[in-house]
Amino acid sequence: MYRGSDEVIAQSNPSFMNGVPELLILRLLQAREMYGYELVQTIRAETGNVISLGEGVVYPALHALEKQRALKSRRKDVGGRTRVYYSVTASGAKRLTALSTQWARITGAVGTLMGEARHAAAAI
Amino acid sequence: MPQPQFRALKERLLHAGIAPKHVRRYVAELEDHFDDLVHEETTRGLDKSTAENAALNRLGDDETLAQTMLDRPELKSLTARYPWAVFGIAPPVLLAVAVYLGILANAGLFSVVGAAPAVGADMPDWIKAAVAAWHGLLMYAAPLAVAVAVGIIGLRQRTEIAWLILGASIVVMLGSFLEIGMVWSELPGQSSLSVGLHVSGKNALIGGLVRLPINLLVLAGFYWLWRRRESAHEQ
Repeated sequence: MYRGSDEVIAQSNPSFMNGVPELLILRLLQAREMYGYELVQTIRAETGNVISLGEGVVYPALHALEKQRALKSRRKDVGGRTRVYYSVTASGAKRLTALSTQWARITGAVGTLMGEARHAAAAI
Repeated sequence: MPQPQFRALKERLLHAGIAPKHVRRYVAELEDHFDDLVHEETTRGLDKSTAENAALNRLGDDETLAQTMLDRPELKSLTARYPWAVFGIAPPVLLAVAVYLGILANAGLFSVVGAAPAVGADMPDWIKAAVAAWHGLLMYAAPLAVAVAVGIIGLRQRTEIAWLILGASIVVMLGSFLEIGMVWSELPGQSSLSVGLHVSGKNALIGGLVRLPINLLVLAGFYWLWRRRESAHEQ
């Protein structure tokens, strides 16, 4: 699902990346409503291309989040084309808070471990 | 109608049980996304053909696009999750509801003409004729309409043909023996309406057995028309 520097992690241990697409989608859509293409480009831009989604796979995640009532969608005519815009619901905002907390704990724990490993390596 | 590159994906997702509304939207979104990517790549200076290839690469291969959708069981249709309910239980319930609503409409007619409290043999002939025609329509058309509706639901969702046959057969069998009759009484307010499955007696049985193959033939005609329409769309 992920390319670039995260590709090895995602492919060798997909469960490690579980919940990350949802986290990114909810985080970005909380700021403003977006359609799929716009969302993917924003993820690429804001992560400096470190996280680059297989662009089509964002839609199943959007549909599923909408089904779980974390997102809502509306059709909007833009430049003669009908776009489906997604935005975060109140329930989605709660879920984002929970996912963010969980993610902070994981990155904190990994950071601590990596720091200890560095100290140990330096001591040797 | 999906662009050629997404037609196979659409069929695969429908056959796998993803709800048609999600499949339609997914394909439409992919088509839009594809157009945006082609525009982006051509703006960068690529020719159209190279830009289209680059766009498809960026979207993801068919297998990935299909699998990420299939990994979301919540996007499957009710029909795919509970075919026994949709094709086994819902058809007779729908038929009963259709007949019930038809009878209610019948009562509505009497109310409109102001004759509800005193329905009797002295009702005007046009009312009796209208009631008889309405009952005939309910008896013959309602089962077929329900069977066709069940068939369309199944065909749109690429449900296994066995389920379609089961659902349509149940309705058609029940419908073939469905009888709705009005007995007009000389006494005001004593006329009666009967609704039921008429299987007792030789004549009723023969009548039902004659209607059964006719109904099945009509349904087969609808199926043939659907297949023709689908083939025309594919070409």
